[in-house]
Amino acid sequence: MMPKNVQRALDAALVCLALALVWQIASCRLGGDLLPGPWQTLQKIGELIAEPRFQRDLAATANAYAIALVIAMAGGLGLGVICGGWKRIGDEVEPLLLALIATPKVMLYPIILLFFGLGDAAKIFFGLLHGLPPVVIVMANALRTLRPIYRKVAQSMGLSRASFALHVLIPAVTPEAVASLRICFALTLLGVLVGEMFASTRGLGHLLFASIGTNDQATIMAVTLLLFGFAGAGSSLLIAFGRRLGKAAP
Amino acid sequence: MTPRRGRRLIALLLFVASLEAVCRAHLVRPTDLVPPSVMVRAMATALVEPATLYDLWQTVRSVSASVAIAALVGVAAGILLHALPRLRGACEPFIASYYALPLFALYPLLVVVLGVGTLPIVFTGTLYAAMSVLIGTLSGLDHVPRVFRKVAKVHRLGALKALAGIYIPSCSAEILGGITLAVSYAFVAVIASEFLLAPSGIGHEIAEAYTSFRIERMYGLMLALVILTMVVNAVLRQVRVRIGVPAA
Repeated sequence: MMPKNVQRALDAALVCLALALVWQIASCRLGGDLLPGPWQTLQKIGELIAEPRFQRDLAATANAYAIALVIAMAGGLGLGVICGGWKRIGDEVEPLLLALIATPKVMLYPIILLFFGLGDAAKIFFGLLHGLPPVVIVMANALRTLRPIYRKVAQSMGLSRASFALHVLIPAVTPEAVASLRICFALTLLGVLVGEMFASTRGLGHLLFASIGTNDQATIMAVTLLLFGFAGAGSSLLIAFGRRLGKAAP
Repeated sequence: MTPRRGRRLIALLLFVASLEAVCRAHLVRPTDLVPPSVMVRAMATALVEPATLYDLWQTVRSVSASVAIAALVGVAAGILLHALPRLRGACEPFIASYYALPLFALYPLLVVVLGVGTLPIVFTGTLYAAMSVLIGTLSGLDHVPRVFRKVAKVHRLGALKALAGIYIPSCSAEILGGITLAVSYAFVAVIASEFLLAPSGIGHEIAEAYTSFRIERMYGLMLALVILTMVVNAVLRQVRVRIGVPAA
């Protein structure tokens, strides 16, 4: 019998193939100029990767995304621990974050642009706005719903606060931390791209925005596929990591 | 009023008052930020204009249509994926990375395919909103108590009858949670599409006010939009509380 993870990878490849088939049929019906097919799009990705300008855009996005992701994760975990550990702070901060999650942040771009100007700071801030609040909510929730038996066991064994945090708390909330990282991974990328679309002169988001202006469908599809591939690969790795942690959890 | 609400109201009032003071003392440029009182006045001025009201109505209509279609599509797709675990396993990476994509970048393509008007905006809104309903439905169906499945078996209910009579009602909390999120996502997609290229809608109005340096109007329209989304979310929260579903 085939190992489960190999079967899952094969199934995912089949889904990709089916999607590519639907895409190709749509491309044939609408015309290659309007909707470039999968093969045309892959060729366009190859052409783009060889262009120095695209490499600069890719590097700019990667740079901003890495910074935003690190800040969003570190800040989100820290704030999540504070909100989850101190109920009064959580009660005040979490409703604000929930309201921020529900707000269409894209409309804030004129304000962010006015304060940060065109450049990396604006798009990193956009990334944070999207990626940080869900991490705080998930982490605070994980701490709040920690099984009481863990605390009781730690108390009965006379663990110090540091030992409790190191040997009980951190392992217990790690699956939720990985789940929040997965959400943060996707939403921060979206935030950075939105920031680049409206508040930057470099990056893949800016390239997308410029391509929309010139109706360059081939570039739009190529960049979208590239981003989907990156986000899909990253999410798959994090899902696999989460599964492994789930198995390892007591 | 509960003490917590009172504290929040005081904090909000203090924040607004300090913002007003900072702006009035010219500590920030009036081209960057206008005082809250000016925002409110600009909002009131904008909201008596028939053209602005029409734009607001268009946005609300697009969001409503997106959410309604997304609810139907999301629940149906959720049921299908739940029934086919292998397909679900294969789709997991796509579902997890779905919200990383700026799908509104496909708006120009949709304009060519679906024509100019609200249809491409509604389609974009549906694309964004449907996934959260799907995730909510999947989560709900995963947590249907085993006894409910046994009851369906004992009563020899067909798949459709069991779904309509037992499974969907039992996971209505998760589906409603997904729909609540779908409203937010639909707002994001609709407004982003309007920002980009749409000829009308409140997003288009905000973008136009920004590009023509009508900063007071821009902030007034933003305030109107923030209040609108807050009211919609508060209504949804109340609906969830009324039917006995946790608010958050």
